[in-house]
Amino acid sequence: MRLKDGVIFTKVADETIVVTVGEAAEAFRGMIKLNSTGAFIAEHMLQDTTKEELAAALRQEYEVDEATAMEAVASIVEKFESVELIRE
Amino acid sequence: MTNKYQFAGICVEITHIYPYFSQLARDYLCDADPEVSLTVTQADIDLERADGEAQDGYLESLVIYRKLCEQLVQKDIILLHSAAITVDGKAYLFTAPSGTGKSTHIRLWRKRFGKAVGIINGDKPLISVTPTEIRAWGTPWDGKEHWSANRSAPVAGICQIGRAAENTIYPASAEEALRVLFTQTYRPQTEMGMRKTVQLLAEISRRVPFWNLKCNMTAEAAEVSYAAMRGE
Repeated sequence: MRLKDGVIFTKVADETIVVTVGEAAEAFRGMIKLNSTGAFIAEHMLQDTTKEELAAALRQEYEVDEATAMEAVASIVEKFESVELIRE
Repeated sequence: MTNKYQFAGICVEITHIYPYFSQLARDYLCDADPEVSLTVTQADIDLERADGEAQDGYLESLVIYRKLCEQLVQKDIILLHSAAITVDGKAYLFTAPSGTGKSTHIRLWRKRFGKAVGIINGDKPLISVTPTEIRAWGTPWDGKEHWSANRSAPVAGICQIGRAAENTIYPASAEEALRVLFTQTYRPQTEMGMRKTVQLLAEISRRVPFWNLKCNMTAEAAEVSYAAMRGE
């Protein structure tokens, strides 16, 4: 899976704001706010990946156990799925 | 036809087809070196036509604003769908979904505070963001009321209007302000433009007081919003 084309990450203060243009904007025209962990996961979804790979990448960057990493990944994936920004 | 106009302090050279726009924007003609230029083609106008009802000249004016916004965002200027008025040299912006009563509320201000209230633009003012100032500018795109003047003022407050039986006003967080402003701005089609838009809106929501007004249509509604936004 990966994010649709046109998902844009903009860092504002210590948060990341996600908005859309092009293909992504046809699915979702709102705004998503992410903390640094959420942004780390979501930005890795710009390339084709899996939940397992995302969790592994997260564990390399942050000191978290596998269950916590998988939970964080699942939550972000679900967030983007719910607004139809994920391509299988 | 090609003419030069000044919008939000920027001289723009516009090449277009129909006289409607020349007439609409006649108060904004200028004679400086253009910093921005844009051209409208009949193909652009045909793309703009959604329902087949509108005249080409009117559609062309929409195309021009769209193209202008795509370029002005790179100069830290964005459109904010709102009604902008001035009192004592400061600008106050009212935003709301269509039909919620922006125009009605502004009529209440004018009725209550008279000539102290000046119009900047009733529908689509431009907002410029600099390190020292956030300023609202008049434009010829002025909505169905045709309230507009070629003037500008620093923005002292933005107010989201909702209807209620009683009049109340309370400040909103910068986060809520950003969410509301994002729904009321022009959405650039490019990644660079969209990124810049988010940054500019975040600046505005951080630096300009943002208010939530719930109001009815009585004179008291104007007094409540005026008192809060003016700090009186």
